Amino acid sequence: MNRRRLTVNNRDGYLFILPALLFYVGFILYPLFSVFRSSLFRINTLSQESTFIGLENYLTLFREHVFARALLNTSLYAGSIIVLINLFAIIFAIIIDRGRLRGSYFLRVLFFIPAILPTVLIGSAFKRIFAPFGALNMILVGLGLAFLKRTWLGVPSLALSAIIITTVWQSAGWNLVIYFARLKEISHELYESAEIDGASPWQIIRYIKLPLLRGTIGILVVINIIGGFKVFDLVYVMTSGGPAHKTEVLTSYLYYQAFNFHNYGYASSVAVIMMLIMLVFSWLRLKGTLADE
Amino acid sequence: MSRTSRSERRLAGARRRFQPIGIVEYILMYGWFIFVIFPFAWMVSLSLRETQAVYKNLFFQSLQEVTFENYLYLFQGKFPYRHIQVFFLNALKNSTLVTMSAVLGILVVAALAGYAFSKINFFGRKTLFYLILAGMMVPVQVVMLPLFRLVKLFGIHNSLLSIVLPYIAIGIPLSIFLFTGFFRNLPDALIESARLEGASNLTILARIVLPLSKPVIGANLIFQFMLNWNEFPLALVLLNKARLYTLPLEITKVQGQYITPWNIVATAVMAAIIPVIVVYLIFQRQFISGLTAGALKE
Repeated sequence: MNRRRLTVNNRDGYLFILPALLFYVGFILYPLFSVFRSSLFRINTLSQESTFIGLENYLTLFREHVFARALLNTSLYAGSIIVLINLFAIIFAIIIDRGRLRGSYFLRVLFFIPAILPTVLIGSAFKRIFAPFGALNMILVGLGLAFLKRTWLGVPSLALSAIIITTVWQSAGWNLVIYFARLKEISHELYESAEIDGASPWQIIRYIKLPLLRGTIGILVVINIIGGFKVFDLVYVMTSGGPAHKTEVLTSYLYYQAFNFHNYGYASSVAVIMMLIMLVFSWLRLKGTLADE
Repeated sequence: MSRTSRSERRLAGARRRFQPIGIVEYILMYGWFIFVIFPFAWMVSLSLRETQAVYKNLFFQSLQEVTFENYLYLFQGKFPYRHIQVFFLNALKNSTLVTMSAVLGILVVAALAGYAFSKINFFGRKTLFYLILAGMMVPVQVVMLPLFRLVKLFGIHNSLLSIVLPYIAIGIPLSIFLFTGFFRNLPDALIESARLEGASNLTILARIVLPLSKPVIGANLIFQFMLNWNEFPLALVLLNKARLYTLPLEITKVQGQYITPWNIVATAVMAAIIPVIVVYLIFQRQFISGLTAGALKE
């Protein structure tokens, strides 16, 4: 009886995961294998050329300064957004949690809105804000600061910062919500007794709240790094990687190599490098998730 | 700062607001409020103006400038300006079709797998679970090149299926993870007793497990809906026919460098996001909990 039930369940088990497995193998595992294989070929989608060249794509990659630029920009971008997003999100979460601000529920709901919107459309809006005749320059002129006017997305030293600001605008809100949820789990009696003992607001933040947020900070830093290395939409719509590759990131480099320059094999090797980088961060992430379970 | 009575506390609260730290709190929070709200306000004001009026001033100068004709043009699909065409309604239809099919597909496939991983004993269960879980690490940008070739190979590159199938594949690892975690907490005794009465696993899933799983279904629904509705890179790579464009792609394609008038871009953007914001404001709690649950597990 017991044995029979187990075999039936065995069959049902495989049947139930079969659809998921088919999708997974067909659209994730096979493409992964395929991209790795393509990276060993010189494939030009225009001339239909396809020659096995071993690791040559990777050797080209490490000599190519645009790739180095893309790697550097991606790291700069990811590094900047994790600092700024978490900084603002923690400050706002603590302010809301202190509960002395009017309208904080309304603010929390509002700050979350950018997270639900398509990133490309946010990019479309911010592209106009940063445009030569855009909102930012109009505001500067209105404030009598006309000398600060810039072609924000056209100046190599500023373009990446503009994209970083856009990302922080979009992401600080949902990070704030997660920090706030963590702070809410802590009993307020803890703060009140600390207050009675004469602790200043700063001391409560420094010695009670921040240490309690440490685990959440770790998780959100990794999530934002992963998001940062995947950035594509904003770069595509705001700068297309320009000016002078100063906003070129791994994904945009991969995309333009494959679809504008038809270097499919070479682009695949960029994808493989990207996958390796993601593996490192995702491993950290997965370890955290499994530890939660 | 000890407290004695309620009224005194309220008084102290009023006094506290004038403390330096209180003022800093207000400046920070309402400063960010202005920063968050400004792009929306500006885009709305752009969308309600004629092209010539857009580049002169930041906002309206007078109410006489306000016009709703851009929205009218948008829904007619044609702007009387350099023959710019926006197939907004078509893109809306595509986005709706794609998102609904993908989300439905993800929920069905993931619920089945989640049930198997949590409530059925079979050989290799753990290994297969972690194998699928590992799929969450794969960014679409890595697999988008082979997917581009794959949909051609399957002969579906001229249909919305070319994007629905990859969306389902990309969505299922996270949803399986969420479902499995939730189902695991349902008591085994419930399932065992139904089995002893001769109910099949499919019946148990449909009649017993799913009715108890509304929270996790809701979270999955919201999370996958937003993910697929907003998705851009795969749509860009896989959809080569203008009639198949989804909303984010259509609006991105409409705007050239700086050539397309901003009021047109702003109208399209606002028309695409206002319904989402309205739905969000109605179901904010569910949205926030669903999206943060998804983000934290991703």
